Amino acid sequence: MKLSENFVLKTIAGATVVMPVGEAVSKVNGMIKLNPTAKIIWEALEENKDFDGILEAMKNNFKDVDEATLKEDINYFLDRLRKYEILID
Amino acid sequence: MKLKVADLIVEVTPKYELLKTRSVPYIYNGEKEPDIVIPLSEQFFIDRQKENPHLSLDECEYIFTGSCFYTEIVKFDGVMLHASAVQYENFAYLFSADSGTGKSTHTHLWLKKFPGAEILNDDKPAIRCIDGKYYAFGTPWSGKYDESVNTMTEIAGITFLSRGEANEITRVTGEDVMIDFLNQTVRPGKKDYMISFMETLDKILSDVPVFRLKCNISPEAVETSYNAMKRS
Repeated sequence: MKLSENFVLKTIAGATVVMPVGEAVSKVNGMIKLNPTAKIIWEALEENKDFDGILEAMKNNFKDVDEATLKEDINYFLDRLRKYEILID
Repeated sequence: MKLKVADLIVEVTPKYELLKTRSVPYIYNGEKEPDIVIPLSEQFFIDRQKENPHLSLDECEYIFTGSCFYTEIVKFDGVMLHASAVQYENFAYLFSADSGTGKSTHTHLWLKKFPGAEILNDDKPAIRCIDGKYYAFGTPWSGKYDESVNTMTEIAGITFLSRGEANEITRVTGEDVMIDFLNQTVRPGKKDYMISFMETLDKILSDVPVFRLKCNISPEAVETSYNAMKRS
């Protein structure tokens, strides 16, 4: 799993946003606002972590949530990223 | 020739009357090396004019040199905001909205109400963060009418304006107006420019007071915005 180079993540005025650049501008017109869960997954992907690595990062941040729910959340977000060609397999 | 725009030295060679005229107040005769070079050639404007037959060559040069300047300014803690900026008592008040909403109408009501107020840039002021303060600048690129002065004025606030029956202003958070701001500026296409742009946007929206104004075209609209935005 690899994030496309054509996206930039930054915190602007307290909100975590992802902006498209280069070729991605024509595919994702606008910006993507990430919630805290999505931000953790994105940052794990930036560190080139695999699914287990992402799950580990999620467990550290959401200690009270069961593993099945965390896996579901990760898969849901990864699917969305693939749909917009943000995540390249 | 060299211009000094938004406290930056800009090298550009105007070929047509519109840019030549608008550049006059900004001519720089000093020795400093340019911060920004606008390398566009005559052929470039001829090609753009063919793609945009409704524009004259003059207008093509004016528009594309402006777009080049406002792209490069992100490397200097700056951005363009599509806004009408009025200055009064040493502060700049910026009103941003889609074209046709009435931002220029609102700032021209300020001129009627406050002797001494003047339009800093009626359409595309440059904003820069310098030593922790935020300034609005007039530039040669100010839109259809030549309403811009070559000054650097500290920003009191930025207001996103919409039409309303009554006059009502609300101080909001930077996050609340982030999308409005993005819709009224130029988003860079290159990654390194985007990174600089987002850093500057974060600073502006974290530090500069921002508001939403619903207003009509009565003199009270000015009282509403001035009283909320003025620095105490």
